[in-house]
Amino acid sequence: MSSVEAEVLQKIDLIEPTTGKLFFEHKTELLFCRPHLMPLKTQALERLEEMHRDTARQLQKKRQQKKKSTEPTGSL
Amino acid sequence: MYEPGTEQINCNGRLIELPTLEVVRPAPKMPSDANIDWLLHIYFTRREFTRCRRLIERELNRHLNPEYLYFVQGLIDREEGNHIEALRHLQKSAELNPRNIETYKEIGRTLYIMGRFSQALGVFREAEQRSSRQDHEIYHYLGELLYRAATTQSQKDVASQQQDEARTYFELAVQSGRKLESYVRLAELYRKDKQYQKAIEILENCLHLTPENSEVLIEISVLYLKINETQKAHDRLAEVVSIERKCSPKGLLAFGAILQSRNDIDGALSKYSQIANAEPEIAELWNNIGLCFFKKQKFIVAISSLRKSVWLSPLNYNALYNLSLIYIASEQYASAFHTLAAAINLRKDNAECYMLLGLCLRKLDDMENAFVALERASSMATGQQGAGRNPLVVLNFALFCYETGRLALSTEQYNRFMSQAQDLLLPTEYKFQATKLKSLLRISNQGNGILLDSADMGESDLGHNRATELLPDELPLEVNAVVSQN
Repeated sequence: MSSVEAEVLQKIDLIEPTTGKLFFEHKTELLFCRPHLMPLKTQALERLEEMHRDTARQLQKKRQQKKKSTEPTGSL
Repeated sequence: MYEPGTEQINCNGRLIELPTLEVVRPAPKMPSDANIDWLLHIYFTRREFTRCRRLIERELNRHLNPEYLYFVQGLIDREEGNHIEALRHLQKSAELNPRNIETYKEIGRTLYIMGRFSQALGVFREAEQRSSRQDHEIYHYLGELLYRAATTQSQKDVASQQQDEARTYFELAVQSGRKLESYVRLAELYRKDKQYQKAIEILENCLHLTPENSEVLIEISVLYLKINETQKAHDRLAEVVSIERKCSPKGLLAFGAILQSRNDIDGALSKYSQIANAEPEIAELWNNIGLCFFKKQKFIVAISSLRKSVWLSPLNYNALYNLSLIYIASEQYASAFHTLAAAINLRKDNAECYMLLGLCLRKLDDMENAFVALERASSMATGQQGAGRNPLVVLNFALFCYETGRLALSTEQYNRFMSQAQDLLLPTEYKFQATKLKSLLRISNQGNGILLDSADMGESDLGHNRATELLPDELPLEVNAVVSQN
């Protein structure tokens, strides 16, 4: 009895619907912007940016040194 | 001898008397070479606007009746998009002759184009009061403006009142003028109120004017589909397809959908390929194409088509539902779960989505949440008793309750399913599962009976003998029935 019931029980499966939802007409609606893939940078562009960053850092250091050198002369 | 008021002419199918000459202001007497309105009219109808402009600049200061000069100048400015100058010139023309209704109509039309709808409504109301005869253009614009005011109105009472007034004006416009635009707008109003039969009647009347207008035929067929009359919609769309060789995407989409609902998948796909050649970026088209391939059991092509549809229209509920359905059919339950979650977020009151979610969670071995989802689906399906009965939701819930050992709830849901499904034509799979569930529930109840009998066995020997005698007769019949059904 229990074995037969177990056999029949295993064969129970939920029923899936076989038809989807159709569209009968085309309506105009608001569109979204598409998601964008960020472009990868080339190696030359990377090097150029690194050079620019180094140059900016050096200029900033020079300005700081000038400020430090002008301060004691101002105090004197 | 000319007698005013004696002539009658046929105007738009109605006999009207000619207006008397006293309606308009008598023109001042000018020499024949000074009145150049005829030349201005010729240049304007030929759309030679530079010559019109030069002629107006030359004649404006020395013309004795510059009403028409200002009028044409206003029309030219409106054609060129300079609405403020057009409005100024038309107002000057109205000041010169306040009894000319055409100028008021042009002022109202200019305000309508500029987007100042309340001022345009006031101008058209004034034109309606001043006009001595029924003018279909005034009625049409009044209906249009009131309809637009009703859609933007926040208070429901005022909006419904304005909508009723708009319908009244559109009916007056249809009676007096019989123009295509008025018929179409009146049908739109009825369609918005979900009175599809009245909208169909109005568009059928419109077809008497223009029997081969494809847009009206397509609109009629869509309305027939709304009231589930597929044959009439098919006939109308067959007319459209025969009239125009290059049919519009709307007509082809509706025609393909009708063929698809009749399981003519190849015919529908040929219609859809015609649309896809012309306009490939329609989300509804790719949704229907995906369902065609789903019917053909080509799941990968169906998934790619529906994913294109969801890509084109990310908030499309039907496409998300269909995509989740195909994911479940192709046993991709994790993707189905994500798609169903998105669809449920779009429409939270749909029972089918919760049923599919429960089915999906059951496959993903999450029984508690599957039970919660199916319970919610069943309560929604029974809550919407009048609108769209769905016995599949209740049957699935009954099967799931039996599987997880909730026998009383399963019996209750089974009885609810039987009460819902009495007057419906169900697929054979539903009936088969229902009868299987019925027999299984009966076996379970009899098992409980056997337990009661075993409790009685300890009391008396006679009862014991009778129980042992009855058991071999009853059980093999039930077992044979179950085996034969399998």
